[in-house]
Amino acid sequence: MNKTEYAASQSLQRNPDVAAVAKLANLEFSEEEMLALGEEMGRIIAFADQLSAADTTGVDANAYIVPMKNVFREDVVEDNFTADELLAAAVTTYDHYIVVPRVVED
Amino acid sequence: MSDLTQRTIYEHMAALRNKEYSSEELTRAYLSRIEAVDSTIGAFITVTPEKALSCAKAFDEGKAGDSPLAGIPCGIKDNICTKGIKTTCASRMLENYIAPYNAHVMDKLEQSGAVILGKMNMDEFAMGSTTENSALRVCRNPVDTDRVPGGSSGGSAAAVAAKEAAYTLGSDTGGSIRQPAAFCGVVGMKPTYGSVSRYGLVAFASSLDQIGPITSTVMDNAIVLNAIVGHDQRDATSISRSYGDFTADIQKGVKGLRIGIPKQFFGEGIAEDVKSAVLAATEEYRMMGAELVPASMPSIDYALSAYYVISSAEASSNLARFDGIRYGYRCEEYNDIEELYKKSRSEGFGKEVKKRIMLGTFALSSGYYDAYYKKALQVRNLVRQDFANVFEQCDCIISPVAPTVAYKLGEKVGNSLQMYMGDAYSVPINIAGIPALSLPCGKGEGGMPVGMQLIGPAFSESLLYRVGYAFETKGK
Repeated sequence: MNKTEYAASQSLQRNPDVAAVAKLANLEFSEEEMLALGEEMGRIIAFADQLSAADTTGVDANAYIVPMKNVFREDVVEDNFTADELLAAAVTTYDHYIVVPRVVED
Repeated sequence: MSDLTQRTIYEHMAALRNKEYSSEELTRAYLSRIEAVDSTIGAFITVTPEKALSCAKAFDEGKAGDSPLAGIPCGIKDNICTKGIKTTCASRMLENYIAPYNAHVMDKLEQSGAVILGKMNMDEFAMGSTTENSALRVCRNPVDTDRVPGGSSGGSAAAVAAKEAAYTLGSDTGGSIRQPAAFCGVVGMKPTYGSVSRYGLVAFASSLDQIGPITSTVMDNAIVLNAIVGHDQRDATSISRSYGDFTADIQKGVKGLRIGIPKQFFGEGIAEDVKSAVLAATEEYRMMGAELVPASMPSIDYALSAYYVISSAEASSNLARFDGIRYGYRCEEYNDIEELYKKSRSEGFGKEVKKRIMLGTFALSSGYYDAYYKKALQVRNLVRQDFANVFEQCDCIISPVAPTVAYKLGEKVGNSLQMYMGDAYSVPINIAGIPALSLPCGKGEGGMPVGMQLIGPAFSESLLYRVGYAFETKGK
């Protein structure tokens, strides 16, 4: 059995619950899009299932490949952005605030 | 002076200093070239002639210093923030976004007196291998305009190949500098992770992204990397060390060097024309006095799966910031904040970007995290160890950049998995955080360029340039 066949036999494969994942990702799709996306994601996830064949006993899981350490600097005030500069990219502003729909109910 | 755009950075450096031509003449030559060919090529998203000419005049008036890149025109991938110039990431989401600050590399280039011609086309948010995911413009391969330029830095590579800029900057998360360089027949470097600051690079997958140069020649590439490399306290992954001068040893040749040929890079899936061109290059190296060392890297087969899990997971997290509030696209109609988020994101992002966000969200979700994300991080360590083992036996590795030459526009659209397979030789390098130089090594099907990739241990860029230069200048 080669690696791909092994992965398929061990497959974790299931078409993902697209609606549930979309909710987590703050995205919306039409019924038709969801169907196509589910199938495509299923194929890609089946491919990723190959990973299960890799022997990783005792291997660390590092998010970064270079040795990561905390980086410190002196706590001194530096030139930074003005409010106007930062607000320039917002769609709607009012008196140095970004306008958004009401988020607190009466 | 019509052929000024045909010259290399190295030649421009000497000519500008000898006052053979002015930076303004040079800049006008590139702007004319853009005017003449870019409606077909589509390499630029934004052209900035006024800014370019004012930089050029500053150089001509002696106000731009004497750095090697001073007065020489370049283009910047459109995911690198440029103060006062749009940074779109080729997305509807950021179509009108103007960053309030410069990326670190832009500060460096401006301090060097570089002339900025504009911003380069790319796959949306750097996700793709053909630049067909650009939401703003079609980009074509200058060698054959029916074919893709590669991606995601397709505009950056196409512009250099079409002589629309002396050099460009790209970004490489899984091959996005090296593969378009290979497809367009130019030179691209993915530097060691942490050597070029990512401050101001719009993040795709933070543990993999790295900025690097695309140029016509190996020497030019070393000159540009000299200008952008170095520590930056605004990027917590930036590495503080002495990087030296990448051109210093470039002419030393390859005699006595040991070059590894890992069989996994030449196995199933590689096109015959690519395989024979790259193997012919290894033979050239042998004749130049290098020793070829057969090698094996058993974990490489898993690298592509690990890459798509890690990069999608990081993308889903990084792209969560685009919510239609502080900047970027906001949908026209909404009833509440939830709907505003959802509609802005769904309308602002293109299909491939949404797919990757979905895959990443899935891989990080409860119940799947260990099987996919954690497992991929472990496999990442196996891949790194494979490279470390090979580098105990040899100084660098040669492999193809991509399994085929550039293919026709539209040929692979709609088949993600087939498209992703094209990244099999380039992603292991990002996974391991090491440098790789992509350079042309011959011609394949349809007369299209074939690229080879020189891979070395962390911080071996000088060696890779030396090995690449030896090939590029052989017989000269």
